[in-house]
Amino acid sequence: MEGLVYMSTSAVEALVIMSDPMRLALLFAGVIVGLALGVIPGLGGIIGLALLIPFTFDMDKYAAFAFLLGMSAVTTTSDTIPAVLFGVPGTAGSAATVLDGHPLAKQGQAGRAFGAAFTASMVGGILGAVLLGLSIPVLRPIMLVIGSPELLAFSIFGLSMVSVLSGGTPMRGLIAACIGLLVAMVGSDPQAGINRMSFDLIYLWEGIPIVPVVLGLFALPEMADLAIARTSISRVGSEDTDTRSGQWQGVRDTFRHWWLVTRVSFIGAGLGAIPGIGNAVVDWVAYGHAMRTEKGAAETFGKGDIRGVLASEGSNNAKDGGGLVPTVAFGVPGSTGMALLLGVFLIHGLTPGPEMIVKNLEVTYSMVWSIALANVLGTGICFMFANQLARLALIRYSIITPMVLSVIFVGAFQGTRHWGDIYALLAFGFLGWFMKRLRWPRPPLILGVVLGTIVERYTFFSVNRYGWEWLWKEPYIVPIVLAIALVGLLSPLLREWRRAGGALGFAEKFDARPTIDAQVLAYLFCGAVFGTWIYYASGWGYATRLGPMLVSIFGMSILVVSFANHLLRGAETGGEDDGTRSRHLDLVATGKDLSRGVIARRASIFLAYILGFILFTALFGMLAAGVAFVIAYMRLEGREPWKIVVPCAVGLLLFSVVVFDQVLRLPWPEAELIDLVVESRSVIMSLLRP
Amino acid sequence: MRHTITAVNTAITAVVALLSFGTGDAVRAADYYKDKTITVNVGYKPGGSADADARLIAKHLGKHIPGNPNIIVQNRPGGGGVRAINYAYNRAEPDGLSVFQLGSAHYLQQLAGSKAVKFDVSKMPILGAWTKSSYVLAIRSDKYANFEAIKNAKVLPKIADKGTGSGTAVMTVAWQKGLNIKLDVLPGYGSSESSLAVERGEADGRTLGVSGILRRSPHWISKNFAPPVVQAGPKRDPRIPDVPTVYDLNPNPGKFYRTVNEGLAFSRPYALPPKTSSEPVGILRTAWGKMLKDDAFHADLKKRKWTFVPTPHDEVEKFYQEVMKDASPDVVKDLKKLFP
Repeated sequence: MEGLVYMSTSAVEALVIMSDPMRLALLFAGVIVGLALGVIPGLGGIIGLALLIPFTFDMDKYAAFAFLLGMSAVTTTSDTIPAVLFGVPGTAGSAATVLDGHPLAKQGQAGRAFGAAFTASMVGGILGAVLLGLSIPVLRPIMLVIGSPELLAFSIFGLSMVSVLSGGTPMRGLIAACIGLLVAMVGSDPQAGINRMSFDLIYLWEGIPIVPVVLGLFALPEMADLAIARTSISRVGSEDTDTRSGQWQGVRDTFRHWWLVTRVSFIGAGLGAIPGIGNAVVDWVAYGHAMRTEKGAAETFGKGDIRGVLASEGSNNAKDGGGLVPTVAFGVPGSTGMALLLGVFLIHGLTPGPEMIVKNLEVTYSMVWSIALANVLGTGICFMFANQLARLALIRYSIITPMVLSVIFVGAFQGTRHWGDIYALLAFGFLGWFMKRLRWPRPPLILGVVLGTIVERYTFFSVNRYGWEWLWKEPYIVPIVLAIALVGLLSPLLREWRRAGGALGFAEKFDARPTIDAQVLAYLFCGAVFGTWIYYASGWGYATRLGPMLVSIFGMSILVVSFANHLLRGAETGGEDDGTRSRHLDLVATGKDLSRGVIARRASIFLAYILGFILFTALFGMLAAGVAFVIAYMRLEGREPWKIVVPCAVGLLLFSVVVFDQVLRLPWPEAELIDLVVESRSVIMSLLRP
Repeated sequence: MRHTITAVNTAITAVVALLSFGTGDAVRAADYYKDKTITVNVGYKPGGSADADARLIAKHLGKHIPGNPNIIVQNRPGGGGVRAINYAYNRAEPDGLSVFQLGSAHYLQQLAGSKAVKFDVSKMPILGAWTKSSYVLAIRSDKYANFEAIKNAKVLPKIADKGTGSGTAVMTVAWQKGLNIKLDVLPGYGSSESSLAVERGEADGRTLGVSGILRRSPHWISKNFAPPVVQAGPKRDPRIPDVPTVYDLNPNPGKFYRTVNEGLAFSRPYALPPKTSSEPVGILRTAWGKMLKDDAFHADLKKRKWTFVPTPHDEVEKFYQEVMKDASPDVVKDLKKLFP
């Protein structure tokens, strides 16, 4: 009882502290910066923190946290804007928003998507903060019960979402997830520090960074398809585009589905508290959860269902509250952003741990208030601009494509500020585009990439420390969570199996004439990936080899079954996926009305532009490349008049110089053609000696 | 493009200079850094102590350099900090505008002949190191009551650690070699994660800095939860006078321990690209010296509870030059295992 009184007086005290006009003004300033960073693909809270922390040295601790948390809490509010409008996630946290938000924009309902997303972001953010506030007294005891085995179980639970996120093609989803896991295993292994598949490239030592992967998988394909379809994003005219009424509709949607928003907020906050599970996973797990539990979701998700937007957006704002839990209670940062924030604790002489829960409780509560207030402010500001933003969807492709692409390249380069980021963007762009075209689900791949590292690490910790006992250890959280994960993983597979008529169904549709199409190439590609890993991994030590071997062999076995299924089930039924029957959980490639020849030609032109952009960057730097790209594309490809081209090019130049160079001080890629030659030689050499 | 912008900046500077009144020779010498931007490069991601260290230097160094240049921090993460130093050694302009933070264990990785290393720390001008990290081995007292219990343990103490390549990993090996004890290392944990693993009983102990344990886990000592059983030395840290050094427990801890211990203690020396001309090197070293005496710098250290134990540049340089010449082949062999 006494504790409760102390808690509530501290909470009130913190509110009084926060109501100081100067602190509120700083919170507001942080929110503005955060919203701006969230909108630009590739930039987000981490860059914001690195940028703003030096300014907080001389602030008092409450003001410092108000400023920084204000900024980081709302990047996941505004990141919806490019996700809905262009299909380009603003941060890794809004990749799942693309799935339903972007189709809504194409249907002229960008306003509704914004209304729902902003409101859900606010509700999620507040619920996350409340959850943090309420759980403060029990934080430490809970965290001490949750060891590596429990964290492993939670991560496996996240991974089990793969099957529901695969829609009607569960086997392809599993294959994609395995490829994602292997992507995560590139770099030095967590145990022996041996480099896996790095081919002497230092870039690959610490693994492939998530930013270029997400932008490559989701953003580049969207831009490519826009360039191929040669339309504006919205397929309906301006008179059919919703504005204020649509936003209001979105707000009502949020409250009609209040129970869903509440659930995903809890998921977001809970996962946010697990170190290593960041932004890039919570939205997908929440999306998968909605997909599994919402009525009729299986049929409508991925085609512009507002509940998909709500699930993703509610969860990613709630995660900040959760992420503060291990940071405040133990000084264990849950993410890079939290690691930076931890530095601020130390700068202000605060020690994470018991002190924050007893002596400095009012500081902790001031953080709770900061997050909650920032979410309200952020949503309010987004609504103010939503009307104008929604109109961007009406602009022609020839203006949108070069401008957005230039920004994507700068954003991707922020992964590690290495040329490798640009190659990674391109490689995953290819992969993403083909997956989208061939209807292989992309979400499982992302889930694999993000969770792969964590699952491997926690598996080693658990097995090293507890042997097999990790599975059956008090308080039995592990077996319970694993059981739920198993059911979640298997039930969609079983459903698809039954839908296909079980073994009998398969036998009936058997066709001895194999179906040969583009899918065959996709299967061969995946087979080559697994095969290469198995080949190289067989030469590594046990600890280095175990993870990749298990994943490759599992992936290969699924691949064999799925490939056989595709080859031998006849062209009419088309294996797992015939394009009409199956529920495909991903965006469907546009331009169905275009002939193959036209698509191939336009895709090649687009690729040529991208390669040109990269070459130009290598020779003259990225800023010049961006401007040249905008001018060339708009003039030659879009045949835009100079009176539109010049303002766009100048605008991009000014924006880049002022925002990226002067304010954010982002480093630009340097002309590294010579390096490329040198590095490619070392790759070839290392390929020769596995 | 950076070059174009720099060119524009230079042009503006030139115009401004033309418009301003004539300047004397003495001022011109001091103007080396006027209107320039110095980049402090750190080989790790934002967050974490290396990054915080670089940001502190960036905050304080500039005002002691004539011409008051702007100083920014740039993270160049990759390869456990190696990528940044490779860049420093092979690519960075030797114009005194790029300062690099060396990792404490980089010289050992160079000694080990790691393939990734494309630098030679003994050829880089050093500015100095402002602190020393003295390591301790902390073990839960409910599992192992004292050093004797560790030495005679049937079940080896489980030590959570970052794993290969880090200073604590090297030190964890050094304890075993220097004290003839055996530890069961659980690699892969992050720094604060290791502490949490000890708290929840997943691990029995860890290697960490004296400052770290005092600042982040004071109850390990005050409540005798996981007190340090040994410290690196050579002398006892005045903050933990009761904890024996390795030399107290074993007067002759062997070559490996000696090679590793002294160099690891220089915490993150700041260095310049090789062949940087003497003018900027001199200016920066003078500024570094002034910064170390600045009250504002010390106020920030105090606020962060960081300890100030500087090592002058010549001492660090001398150590690196000697160790590269004199390291014994046995030690190099052992190091190779730590830096695959």
